[in-house]
Amino acid sequence: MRARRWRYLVLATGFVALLAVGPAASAGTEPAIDLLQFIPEQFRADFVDRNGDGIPDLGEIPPEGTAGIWDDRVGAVTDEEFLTAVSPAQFDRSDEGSFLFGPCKGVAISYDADGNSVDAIVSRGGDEPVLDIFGNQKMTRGNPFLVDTRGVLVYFGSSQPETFFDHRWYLMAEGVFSDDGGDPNPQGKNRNAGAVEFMNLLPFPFTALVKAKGAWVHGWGPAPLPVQDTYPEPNCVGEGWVKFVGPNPFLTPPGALAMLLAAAGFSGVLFSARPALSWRE
Amino acid sequence: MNATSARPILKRHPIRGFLWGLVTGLGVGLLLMTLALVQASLPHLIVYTAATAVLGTVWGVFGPPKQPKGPPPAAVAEPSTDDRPHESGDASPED
Repeated sequence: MRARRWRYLVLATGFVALLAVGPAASAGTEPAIDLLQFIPEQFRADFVDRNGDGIPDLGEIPPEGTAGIWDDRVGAVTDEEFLTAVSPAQFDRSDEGSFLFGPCKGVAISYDADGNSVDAIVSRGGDEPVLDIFGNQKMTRGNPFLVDTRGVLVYFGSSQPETFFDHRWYLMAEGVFSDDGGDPNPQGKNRNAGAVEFMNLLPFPFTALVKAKGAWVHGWGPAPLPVQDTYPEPNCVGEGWVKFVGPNPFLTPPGALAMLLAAAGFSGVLFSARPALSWRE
Repeated sequence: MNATSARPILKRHPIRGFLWGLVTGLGVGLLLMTLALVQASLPHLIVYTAATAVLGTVWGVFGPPKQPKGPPPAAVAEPSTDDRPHESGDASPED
């Protein structure tokens, strides 16, 4: 009896150690990239690292980026169009990595509802993959970009030294959202900044690991940009993994429903579907 | 009637197993997706649901049977002492 207690104690200690070692190890790592260098000087005063994770936290949401005249303001018109756009068939789920090709560079930072940083990705352009602040490849299945479903995503990006005219773009995340747009860009802008408030876009908080992809192509014109393997140069094409995080998965509507179904189903299998003996006279 | 006339029969529940398995798979699949342990996608959900439906069916057919509720009917309705001579008389008519 005593030996069994010791065994349980050792098992419990090992389990707690496993949970504690990972965060402790990552907490000791110093950021390798200063995200402020990607944020225009006039906005830097709005960002202060309050929670000490090396990612600047948000004071005020920066002004919305300027919408292109070909931007889709409505989104999919019908459910079928939306489901087709975000269908798993559009995504290569076997690829667990990430990539971003082209001159696009910048930073995207996700925040929770209080403006505290959740995660960040950085791109320095070229064929280098998207990185986290520690210099590790980001948006892989093992190191996805974390996005709070009740929070805000802030981005500062540019295509320097290229300037895209008559450009079209699309961005989609499997099963969650799809958006597209473009602009003739007569002013010759090659930088943009903006914020995406997920609370206004998503009906309820949830947690999900999904694949996302996007493309931005110079000289495409007003026609919508299809998903294809190659585009005219210059272009930016990227793909990777995003993890949407909510407050507590079990307290979200999908999580509660899933738990209810799993518990009911398991009880049914265990007690109602089991073969039974009865007496026959 | 005596104790030897009631015999246990096994009742299997493959349909119940299949249906409850479907529900379990749907719940487990959604749970794994909401915990972000697996990728959220319809094919994944279908795989989990189908797998647990098959397991549920197998369980409904081959699972360890529940014991019958209560003793056999004959054991409940114990024959009275008054009946016994009559039964033994019936049992050996040739005697």
